[in-house]
Amino acid sequence: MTKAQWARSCMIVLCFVGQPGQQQQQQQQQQEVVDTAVKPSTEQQIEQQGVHCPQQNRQQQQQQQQQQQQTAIMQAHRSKAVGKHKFEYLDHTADVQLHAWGSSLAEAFEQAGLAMFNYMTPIDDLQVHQACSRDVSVSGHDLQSLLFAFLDELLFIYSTEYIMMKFIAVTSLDTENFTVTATGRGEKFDQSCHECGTEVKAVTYSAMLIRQQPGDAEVFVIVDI
Amino acid sequence: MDDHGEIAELMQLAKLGRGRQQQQQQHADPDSDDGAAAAAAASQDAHSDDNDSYDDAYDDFVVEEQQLLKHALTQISELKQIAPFTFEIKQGSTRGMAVPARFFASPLLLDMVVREAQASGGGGGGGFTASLQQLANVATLPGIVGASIGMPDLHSGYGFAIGNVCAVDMEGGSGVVSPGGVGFDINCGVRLLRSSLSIEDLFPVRDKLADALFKAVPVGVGSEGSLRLGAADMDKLLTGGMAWLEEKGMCWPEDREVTEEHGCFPGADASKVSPRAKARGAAQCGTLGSGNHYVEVQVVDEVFDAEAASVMGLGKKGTVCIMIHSGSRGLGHQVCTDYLSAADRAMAKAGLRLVDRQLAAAPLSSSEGRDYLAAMAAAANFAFANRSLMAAQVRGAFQEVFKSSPAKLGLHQVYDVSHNIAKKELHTLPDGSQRQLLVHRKGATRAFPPGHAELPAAYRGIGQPVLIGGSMGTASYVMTGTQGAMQRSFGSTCHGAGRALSRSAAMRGLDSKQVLSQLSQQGIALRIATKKLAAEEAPASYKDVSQVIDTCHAVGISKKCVRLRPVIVVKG
Repeated sequence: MTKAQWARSCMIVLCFVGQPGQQQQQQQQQQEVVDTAVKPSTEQQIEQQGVHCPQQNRQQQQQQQQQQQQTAIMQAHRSKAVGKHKFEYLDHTADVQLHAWGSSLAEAFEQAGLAMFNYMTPIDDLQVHQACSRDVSVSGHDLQSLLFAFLDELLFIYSTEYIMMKFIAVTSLDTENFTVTATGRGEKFDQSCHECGTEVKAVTYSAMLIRQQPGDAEVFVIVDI
Repeated sequence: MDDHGEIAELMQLAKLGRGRQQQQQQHADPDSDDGAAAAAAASQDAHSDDNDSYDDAYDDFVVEEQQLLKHALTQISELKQIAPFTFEIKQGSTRGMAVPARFFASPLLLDMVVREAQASGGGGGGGFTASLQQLANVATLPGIVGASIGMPDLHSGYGFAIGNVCAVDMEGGSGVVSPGGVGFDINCGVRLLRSSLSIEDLFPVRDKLADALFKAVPVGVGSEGSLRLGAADMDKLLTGGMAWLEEKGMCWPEDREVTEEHGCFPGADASKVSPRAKARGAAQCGTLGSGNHYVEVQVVDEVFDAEAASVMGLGKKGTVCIMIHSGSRGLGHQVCTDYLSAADRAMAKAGLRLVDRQLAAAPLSSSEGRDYLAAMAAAANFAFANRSLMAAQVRGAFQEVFKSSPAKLGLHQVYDVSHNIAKKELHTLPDGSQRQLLVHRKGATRAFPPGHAELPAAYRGIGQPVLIGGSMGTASYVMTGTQGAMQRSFGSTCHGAGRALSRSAAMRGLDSKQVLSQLSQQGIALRIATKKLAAEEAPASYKDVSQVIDTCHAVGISKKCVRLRPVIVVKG
């Protein structure tokens, strides 16, 4: 079968409309956040901008408004952070949705990895052993597949060596060629001294979301457990 | 509807509905309108030959249940009732739907999926796709025939809903296989062993047996099995499944006879399983895992179909049996991950973008599609071997405690079913033609009727045993396959209770200590590696398994046979 045939037979899948109801609901809620949190600062901004030409002014306003709108949304949903970490677990009927954030995409990636390990055992109780330091280097064909591959690689280390990471440091993250390298440090899981959480089976693409803006980034990943 | 929908079952449903309704203070609208009247009429229509003595209770059922039903139907406009306990999402409600989406639900179960849809938004981020939307999404897959079908235990999964059956035409040339439609835990399933012991024999040694089982079966995070699979043995196991274990003397020859596919999927090719997947499986054969997996010692609590029950050796109340629920562990999870990534990459190269990437699928005629099916079959064999090794561990623990051989204790296998799998099957379409279909069962159990050629001789008269594991501390059921399943759901029925609460909601609302003490008050000995899991997996986190079973029975997609009550629960 040629690539074109393959593409054609998959075309129907392409036509999903997604979740109209859900999108609508999200938009509505976004609007609410804008109303309460963003309006005052927008007014302030107009006063300060004063003499700019109207078109430029409008453009800037729009950009800034969009940015602030996103900031407000991002901030509003980080209320259940685990300890001092920058991750939380959101509701999902069968599985677990990881929500991780940071001042950069690299940090959000690190936190997503930690969120995954923390579901299997509390990472704050882990020690760091020199022998249990592992380097990972993966690539993807876009940002989502990069995050998928990154988490899958970390899970692979756990599944074959039973090492749980307490710290993860992303050493390079190339968002043009979609590669990431990182070092994880932790120790080998031992049921006799570590608390047993729930094993993560796999990473999924389901409702995966990656958001970025200057100084802030966040990711949402559903993992199968 | 004359071949099912027995009034006694409806009465039970009515009672269940009432109890729950009072508890939950349902928002029923007293004003009647066309929708409710039509739904009530549809229901009454189907049961016009009702016995008079049931009239009062039946009226109550109609009023209360229909109010709940009516309310649920007003919440989602694309939803309509097409038969009792059967609902349809209109074709076209999601663009690209090749067939409609259908699901089976009692009014209470319908209310639950509707509320899940309402909760799925998630506000400014996150959110998940509700099972109703997932059912509709699956209806867009190329080559799907009939309908995307939801079982009564339907809930949100990833890509496919959990409790989702999707049959794809293998002959037309356009069909696809979706790794996500099988799920990460390939051939996750349930095995049931019976014994000649009764509850009286068990009680004096209950705790000792619980300890022995907890010691014998590796459970929870980081557990390793006793069997270390080298490269050559791994390949033999992946190709031969239970046949290879039998050669090694690790399972009984008779076990294979009462296992789906005789414990070995045809077409398994170990070379299509990546080294990464094999590495993840090397130490994990014979381990339970965590989450909702378990080993339970149960007793026969109620017999609904004496003839079928006695054929299965479960005819006597108080008979001790053992249920094992687990899958293909890391090996299967990695096979799914690998082929999902491959399908995703191929789609990206072809310039295709999906709203739900998790649905990525490969044409059956492509090398990706063929390789996935060969790897899936190998992973399925790994799962059969995994459950077999745990069965051996269970037999060993019984031997140790009862000081008698497993054969003398009558620890025979009743059956072993798979509820995460895609299988090539011959089905008759509504127009009477026979088609070779690839039936994806994601959280659904095969339920072949009496007389089906694929069944072992012992069960050909009663239909395929369908093993439905309940949630921790609640009942499990044995049902039998029916002709109704062949007509309505491509020979499929439910697989379990289905989650009602999200894990985090369960953790917020339920206290693990309370859950543990409640179970012990019910006379259940629990051995669990993680206390946190007690709340996550508490009975209250799940739908009422009896509702699910009664709905399957009433719709006619499987027949209620035996109820099993847990006495010992071993979990990760």
